[in-house]
Amino acid sequence: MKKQKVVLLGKGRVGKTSIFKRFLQNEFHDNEVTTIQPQYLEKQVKVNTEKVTLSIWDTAGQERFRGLNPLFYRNSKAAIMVYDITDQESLDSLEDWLAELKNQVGHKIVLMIVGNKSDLKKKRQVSIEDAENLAKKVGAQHFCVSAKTGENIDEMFHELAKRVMKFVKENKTPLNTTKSRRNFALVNEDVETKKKKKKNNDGCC
Amino acid sequence: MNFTEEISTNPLIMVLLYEPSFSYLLNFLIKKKGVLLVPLLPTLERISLNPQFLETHLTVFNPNDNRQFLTYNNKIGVIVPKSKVFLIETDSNFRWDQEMQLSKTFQNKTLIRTLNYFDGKTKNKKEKTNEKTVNILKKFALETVRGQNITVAFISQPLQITKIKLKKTKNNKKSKSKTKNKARTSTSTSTSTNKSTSTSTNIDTNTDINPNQKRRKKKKNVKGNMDPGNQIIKTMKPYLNQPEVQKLLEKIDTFCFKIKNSKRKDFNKIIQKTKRFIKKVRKQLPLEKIYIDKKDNKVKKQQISIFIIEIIMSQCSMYLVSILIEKEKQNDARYFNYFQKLNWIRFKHLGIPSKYHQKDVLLQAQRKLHEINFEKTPLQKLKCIQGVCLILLQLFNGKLSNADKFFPILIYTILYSNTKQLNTNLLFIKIFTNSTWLSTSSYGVYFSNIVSAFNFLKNLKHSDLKFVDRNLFKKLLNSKHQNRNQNHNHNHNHNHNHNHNHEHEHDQNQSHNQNQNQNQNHSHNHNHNHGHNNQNRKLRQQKLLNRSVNTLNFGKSPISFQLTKDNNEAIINKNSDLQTSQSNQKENKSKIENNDQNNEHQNVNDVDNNFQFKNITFDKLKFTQIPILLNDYNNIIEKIINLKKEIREKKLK
Repeated sequence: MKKQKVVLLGKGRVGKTSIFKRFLQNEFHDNEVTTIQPQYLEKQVKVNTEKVTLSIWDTAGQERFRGLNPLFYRNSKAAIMVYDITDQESLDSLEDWLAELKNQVGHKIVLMIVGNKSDLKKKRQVSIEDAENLAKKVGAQHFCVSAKTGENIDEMFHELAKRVMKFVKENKTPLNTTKSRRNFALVNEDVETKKKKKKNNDGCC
Repeated sequence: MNFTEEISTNPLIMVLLYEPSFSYLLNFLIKKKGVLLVPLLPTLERISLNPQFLETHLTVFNPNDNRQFLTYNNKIGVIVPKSKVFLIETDSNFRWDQEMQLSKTFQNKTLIRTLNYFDGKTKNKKEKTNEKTVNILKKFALETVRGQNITVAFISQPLQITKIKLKKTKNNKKSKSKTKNKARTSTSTSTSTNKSTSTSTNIDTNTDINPNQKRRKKKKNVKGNMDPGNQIIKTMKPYLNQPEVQKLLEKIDTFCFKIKNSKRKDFNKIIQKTKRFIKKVRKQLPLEKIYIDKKDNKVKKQQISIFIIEIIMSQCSMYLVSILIEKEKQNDARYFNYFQKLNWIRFKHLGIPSKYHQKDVLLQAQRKLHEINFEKTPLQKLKCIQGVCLILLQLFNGKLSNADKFFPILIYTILYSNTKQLNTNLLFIKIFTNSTWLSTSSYGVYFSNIVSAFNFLKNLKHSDLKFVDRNLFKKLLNSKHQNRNQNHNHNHNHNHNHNHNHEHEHDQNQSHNQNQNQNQNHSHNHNHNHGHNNQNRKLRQQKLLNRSVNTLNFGKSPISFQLTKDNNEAIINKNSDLQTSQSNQKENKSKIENNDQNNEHQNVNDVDNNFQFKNITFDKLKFTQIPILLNDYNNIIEKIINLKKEIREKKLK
C-alpha cells in the first residue's frame, strides 16, 4: 500500500512532537533527541498481514502560525488532534482546528483525538467524558496516551493505521485528483452524525 | 604569472572560455580588483575519460585519424573503441600544424551547455563504477576572504572518484564542531554541499584508507544519503539503454524543441501542453516490457512522470521560467519591496530565543536560498530548499526541532535573504511537481514550510509580531527612512564584513529611532552620499556589477577557504563589534569607526594588488594567484567573441 499522509494538530505545548518522536523511535527523552528530518517521519505499521507506511507531518501549534497550516493538511488521509489533559483550553481549541481542517481538506479523512500527558493524572483538568463527547460528535476515536511513558502510543497508531487502511480501501478512487476532490466534498454534519450512530464509531468525519 | 599565458596553457580556463558567464566573472573580478585562483599545472593525465568529459574538455581531433585527439594541454589521447574508454597515452609536445578540425562525431555536441559534472572513471574494469559516480566538477566558485575585501574566484580541477570519501553529516554536532574549527584554523579548505544531497554530504579527500575499504564505506554512505530525487534517477538509469525508453527520450527532445521555438508565450497553454504530453507519454510507455523483473515494480508511474519532468525541465526550464518571471514580474517586485520595508523586524519580534542568534548559520542559509534562482529543474530547486532548512537545523544542535521554534527562524532567513523571484520559483515548483509525491516525501515538508513562511510574510499583521502594536506597525511600515542594507544582504556573497556589521545593527537598533538609523546608514553605506559624483558613479558601477553577479551561476557548491591573516582580522572585527554592543552611546560611535575602518581597508585593498595567498591546497593541488588586468580582459573578451562566432558558423554549416 502507498504511503499515507497523517497530520499532527493541536495547540502549542501539548506534546505533538513528543508523541511523534515516541512512536517513531520508541524512545522518550526529556531533552529531545536527534532526528534527521524533523517535522516529517515515515514508519511502517503492520496491520494483520498488510503493511501501511504512515508519513507523519508535525505542524506548528502557536496561534499566530495557525493560518499557515493549510498547506500541511493537503492530501492527508488522517489527522491526529492532540490535547493536553492538564489544560482545558487545549481541548476547547480542538474545535477550531477541526473547523479549519474541514474547510481546507475538502474530503473525508480519518480523525483521532488524543489526550497527552496521561502520566500526570493528579493535574488532570479535562474530563474523559468531555473528550469522548467531542470525539463522538466529530466521528473520531478518543485515546489517552503518554509520550513520556509510552502508554497507549503504539495502540493508538496501530488503530490509526487500521482505520486508514479501511478508509483507503473503501474509497479506492484516487483522492488527490481534482475530480475526486469534488466527489469527496464534505458531508454535512447532520448526515454524518446519523451515519456514525448506525456504524458505531466509524472513525471518519 | 600572466593571465593571457595561462589561458593558452590551462585546460580548465580554456573550457571556461566557452561559458558565457565567465566573461561576467572576469569583468567582476577586474572591477573588484579580484583574483583568480587556478590549479598549478592542471593536467588531464592519468584520467580515463568518458565521452561527456571529451565534449567539454577536449576538442581537437586529428583530421587524419579520428581516433587521435589533442588535449588543451598538448597531450595526445586515443579513443579505444571496444572498451569505450578514452585514454591519454603519451606526453609530448606534439602539435598539429594542419588546420585543426573537430571530429564529425563530436561536432554537433556543444561545449558546456549544462553544469557539467564530471563522472569519474578508473581504468580497471573492476572499478568501473558508472552508477556510483560522484559528480564533483565545480567550474568556479566565488568567495570573499574574511577581513580582506578581496574577491577570489576559485577554479577547481575535476577530481577522481578514488580520492573521494563521502561523509554523512547525520550528527549535527560534528558538523558544528567543523564550522567552529573552520573559524579558528588557518588555511583549511573544505567543500560544502554538493549536488547529490544538498547539504547532507560533505566531500572530503582521504588517501590513507585502502581503496576496498573506501568502496565499502561509500556504498553504505550512498545508501544512507539516498534522497527520493536521487533514488528516482538512479532507478531509472539502467533502463535508459532500452529501445522503448530511448524512443521516449527522442519524443521528449522533439517536444522540448517545439516548446522552445513556439511563438506563443501564453504560459497557461504551455503548462497544459506539457502536462498533456507527460500523460500521453506515460500511457504510451510499455511498462511491462521495461520492467521485466518483479523487483522493478518499485519504479512506478509516479516516478516515471517525475523523471520525464526532470528531463523536460533540464532542457526547457530556462525558457519556461523566463515566461513565468515575466508573468509574475509585478508580484516579485511588490514582494521584494515589501520585504525591504519590513527590515526593521528583529529576532525579538519573531520570538526567536537568543541561543539561535548564530549569524554565521543564518547567513549561510540566506546564501543558500539565493541559489534557488540558479537551479533548473523543480527537483533541484526542492533540493535547494531542503538545503536551506538543513542548514538552519544546525541551530538546534541535533535536537528535534519543534515547528514552532523552526518557523520563525525560517521566516527570518526569507525576510533577510529577500531573494528576488522566490515567488516565481515557488510557483514553478508547485506547477511542475506531483502534489501526491510531494505530500509523501521529505521535500514536501520543507517546501510547505518555506511556502507558508513566505505567505506569513506576505500577509503580515501587527498581531503576528511581538512587541509591536497596530500604530507602531503602521508607522514602521510607512516610514520613509528605511534601512537600505538589503543591498548588502544581496551582496553577501561578496562582503562578509558588511554583513556582520549589518546583523549587529539589526540586533541593536531596537529603539527604532529613525534619525539614528539614518545616520548609521549614511555612515555605513556609502551608497547614499549623494553629494559626490564620483561616489555616485562608483555606486552605479557596483550596482551593475552586483546585478551581473547575481545572474551568474557560480557552480553548485562554493568552495570555502580561509587564511590566517584574514581570520585574525575577522576575529578582531567581531570582538570590536561585541564590545560595541555593551552600550548604546558607544555603539554608534564605534560602528561609525568600524565602518570607516572598513572603508579605509577597502581603499588600501584597492591600491594594494599584491596580496599573497599562502599555501592554498585542495585535493593535493596547489593553487596560484593570477591577478587579471584590464588589457587581459579585453583580449579575453575578444577571444570569447571569436569563439562564439566560430561556433555559430559551424552550426550554420
